[in-house]
Amino acid sequence: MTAPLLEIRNLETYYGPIMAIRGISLEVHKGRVVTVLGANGAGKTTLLKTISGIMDPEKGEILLDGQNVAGFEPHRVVRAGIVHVPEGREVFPLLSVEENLALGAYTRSDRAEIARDRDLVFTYFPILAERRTQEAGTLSGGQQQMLAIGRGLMLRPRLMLLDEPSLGLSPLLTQEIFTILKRLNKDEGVTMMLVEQNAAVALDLADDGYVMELGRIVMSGTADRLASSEDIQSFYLGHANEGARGERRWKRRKTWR
Amino acid sequence: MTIQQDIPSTERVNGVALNTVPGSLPIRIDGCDTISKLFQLRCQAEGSRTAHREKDLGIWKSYSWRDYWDHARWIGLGLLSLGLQRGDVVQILSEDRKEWLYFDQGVQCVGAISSGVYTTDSASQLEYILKDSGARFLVVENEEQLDKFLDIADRVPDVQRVIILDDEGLHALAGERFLFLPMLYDLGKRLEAQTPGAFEAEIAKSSPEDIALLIYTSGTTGQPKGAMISHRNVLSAMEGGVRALPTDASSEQLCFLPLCHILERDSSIYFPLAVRSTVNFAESPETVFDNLREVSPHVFTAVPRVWEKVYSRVTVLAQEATPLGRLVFRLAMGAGMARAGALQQGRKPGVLQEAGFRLADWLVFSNLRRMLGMDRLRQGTTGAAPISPALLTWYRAIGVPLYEGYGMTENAGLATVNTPQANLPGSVGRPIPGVEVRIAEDGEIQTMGYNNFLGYWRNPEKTAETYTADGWLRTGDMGRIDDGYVTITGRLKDIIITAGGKNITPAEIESRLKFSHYISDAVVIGDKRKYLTCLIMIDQENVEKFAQDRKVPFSDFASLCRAQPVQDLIRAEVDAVNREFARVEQIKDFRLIDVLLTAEDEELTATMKLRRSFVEKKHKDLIDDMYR
Repeated sequence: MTAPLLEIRNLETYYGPIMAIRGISLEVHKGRVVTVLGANGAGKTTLLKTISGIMDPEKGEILLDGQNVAGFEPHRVVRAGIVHVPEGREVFPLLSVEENLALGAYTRSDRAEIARDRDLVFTYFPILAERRTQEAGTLSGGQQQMLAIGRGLMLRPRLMLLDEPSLGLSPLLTQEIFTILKRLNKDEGVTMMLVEQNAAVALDLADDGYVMELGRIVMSGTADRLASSEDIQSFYLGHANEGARGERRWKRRKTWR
Repeated sequence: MTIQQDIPSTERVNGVALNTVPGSLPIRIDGCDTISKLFQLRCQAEGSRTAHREKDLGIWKSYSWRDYWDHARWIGLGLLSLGLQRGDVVQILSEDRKEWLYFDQGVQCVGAISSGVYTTDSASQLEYILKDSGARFLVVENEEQLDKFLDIADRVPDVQRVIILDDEGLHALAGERFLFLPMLYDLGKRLEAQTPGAFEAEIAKSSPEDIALLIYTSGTTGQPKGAMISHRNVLSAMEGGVRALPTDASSEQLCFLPLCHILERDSSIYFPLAVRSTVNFAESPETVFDNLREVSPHVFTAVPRVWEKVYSRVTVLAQEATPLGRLVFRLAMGAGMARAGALQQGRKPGVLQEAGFRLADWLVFSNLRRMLGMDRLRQGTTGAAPISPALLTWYRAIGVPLYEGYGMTENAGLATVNTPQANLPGSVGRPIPGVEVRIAEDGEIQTMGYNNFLGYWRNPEKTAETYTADGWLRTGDMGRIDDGYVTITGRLKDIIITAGGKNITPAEIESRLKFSHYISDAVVIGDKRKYLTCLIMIDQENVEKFAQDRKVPFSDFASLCRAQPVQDLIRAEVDAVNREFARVEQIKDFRLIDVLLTAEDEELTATMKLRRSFVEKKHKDLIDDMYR
């Protein structure tokens, strides 16, 4: 395989004295979707924040095409081509849809291309076109999520970091957004790193996956391999072995094989 | 046989009256010749004093000797009213908790046999043990363990009653065979009201030759066998334990290893019965180190894995300290090691060495011991697997006297032990009073004493194989004796005969490998092969730390094992060990076991040792790969 687009080596990040990421190494190859699964507090969001420069790592390297961007200010990381679609969407509520999208392209000056990309966003998310002058704060949760993704696309990113796009959305909307993400990946070749608690949709979309626990990676492999693992099935996909009584409550120990 | 029996003269050791001449019959501890009689004596005398502590919702709660007595009595009587007969086997499938002890004593007091099943055993292993022991009563801890029984319920028709300790989540459970613990207590109370004194009468019937416990040994080959241990066997081990361990009525202990294993059974049930110490139960295997700090025991018995873990934690912490902290720790360790070296060689440390240690102790080690929960520790004991002499020296250096002992299920868990008075690091010590040890012609260690077990349950052939014609117990271990100190070199049946006809003891090489901080266990292979190879299980924590410090990228455990720098690291460790051995005993190649094994895996014993036969079978591909 060719050299990875993003390679993380031995990353460690702290919240004050607390070590949130305890040595993580992973790879994202161009054109692929990589998902990072994990329970609350596993360190998934911290990982994305460290990549996008919002947090500084204590140790380790974040190589984007061989260039180390660890510890860069966020705006430099954006210029390097990594865009972060944050958890909880974080659109600018008082700006219109169009203005939000324009801000997504603030590092670019090629007006014609920007206009083309805006149209592209509108073809993928037609609802945004309908509401282009509406204040973003008045959009529904699902629409805001679409706007946040669209705003990210306006950068023409080399890598898109997505933090829980399904958060707070109905299953139907989640399905819709993930279908669009899949098309963006297949048709536009957008490379994505996706953090999710909804393992079923994430593994369906992703090519590769990692499982994080307490700041460490405990399992990695192709999405298919992860989806067929017994631990993933019982702890993330909710396939329960009911046992003889049909109402088993205890969980067996995870082994991550 | 005359009615009159000579009463051996007694002496008091740690507040307990023992025979002056150990190993003479009748064996009596404070005048009692069975565990049950001693149990009755203790509970009546100690009354409201604390016998056990258990952590409940974050708070340590105390339970008295009277609680111990009452609950054991209700259990014993309750089982009687359910039809338990003298000589029946009761199986206990539970993590360590006070009820485990209540059952152990209650069952023995009414003349039945108590036996434990590992909570990590699978349903099929449980089925085998239930069938083999013919148990009619099974005690399960909770829902999780009950489910194992339910999987095999139809295949073990002899099991009449299953007693459940913890009813959480089981309110819907119904059926003739199931009984919750409070109901058993009620049955016991009812029988007691009908026939007062019935329990005491049962205890009076107990005799030293009765089987008290059945311990299933983790057979490395074939199915586990039940070792029958009599009251006298246990009392004999207690005689040795009381003399070897500096415990008394004021001592605190921590119970955390499986009680099915003879080591924890002796140290947390029977020895405390003799010396009246208080036993604290760890919440779970994961919280042992926190519980250790909270309890700060006076004596602590553990397997080498635990002592190694503590050592690794301290080393890692020391490395992460400030530069000044690191310097002070290094200087302190220097002073500690110098004194420990002298002590280990049996010399008296010089005045300067002693002064240096005092300073280091005041500045560093006293805090370190408090942090570890070893500030009150009078003596640490290690057993059940070989330990590195370097580790013993290290503990001595930080002011924790650690002594190695040796025993097996078949001699009630204790045959030899090092003591402050007679200590040879690297050996397992001298035989305990009352036990003799000899080396047979083929190098096998054989023991003789009243702690030698009665035989294997319903298996006279295996029993016959275990004893020599003149009645000595074959331990299956090989070793030598110098000046009374026994040194173990390996297992007799593990001897490898290479294709070149050379006899090799793998244990010698394996234990040398295990002394590396990066290797947690190893299995040497080479029987009928051209050269020796080895399967290695790395120490996850230390190797991860190594990789992280050297910036070696890895994701999961398998990728850690695959990483070239890790392979090189282990190769260097193997090469270092190879230099200590002759050509034919050197390891040509090795493979890392790249799955993280847990206690549920059959490749591991309950004390987390690799099981040779299973490892060889499960990782056949890796092995064949090394001979291609």
